[in-house]
Amino acid sequence: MIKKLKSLTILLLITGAVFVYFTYDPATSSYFPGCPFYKMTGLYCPGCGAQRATHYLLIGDITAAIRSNILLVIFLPFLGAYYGVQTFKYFYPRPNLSIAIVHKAWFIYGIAFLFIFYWIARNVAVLGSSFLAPH
Amino acid sequence: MDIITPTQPPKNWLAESILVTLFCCLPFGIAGIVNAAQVSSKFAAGDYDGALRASQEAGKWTKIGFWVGIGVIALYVLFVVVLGVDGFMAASSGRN
Repeated sequence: MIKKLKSLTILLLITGAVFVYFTYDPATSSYFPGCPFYKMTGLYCPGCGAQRATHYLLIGDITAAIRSNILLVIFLPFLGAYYGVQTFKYFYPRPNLSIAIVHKAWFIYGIAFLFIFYWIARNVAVLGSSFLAPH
Repeated sequence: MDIITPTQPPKNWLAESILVTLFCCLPFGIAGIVNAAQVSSKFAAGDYDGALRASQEAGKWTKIGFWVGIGVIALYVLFVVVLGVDGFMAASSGRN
């Protein structure tokens, strides 16, 4: 019962978020929170541009989404596959079903390295900040 | 050996950590990802207790990042939308 209520709440929140991010552009509307890390330091974090990228993906502008936050675009198919499998398991329990690569240490360390590199590179010109910073 | 070794690794919180890193804009998600990697490496080495501890640690950092993110949004809504503090964050070009 609690589990069903939780799933329903998550589903409603996602539907609401999709509607809001489809309708409004975070780049021009002031009703979206800015990044607190950017506010405090003036530096971009790995998540900066993710709200804009979400909006651009929902309206079908993939180029603009890549310019805002390329890692969101890269990881979306992975997250989609993961939560697709999780949803399937919710309805048809298969304890042994999982995406093998999710449990490979080298893959996960690679992701951690990618995020840390992205964090630095977005702020350093020689590492390509002009392309990687939200623009 | 009469100890039953679980065949599946404990939950590693990888997808949730990635989401927290991208949408909560805080380093907590990266701490979650590093612990997610330790879940896998310890489980592969046969250290199930260690993997379970790393799993709890990954879950902890992911949840901290998630609730801090929710807290920031709540504060933002309170200050900018409800109290109408102009230029507090709205004037910034540094949006997430």
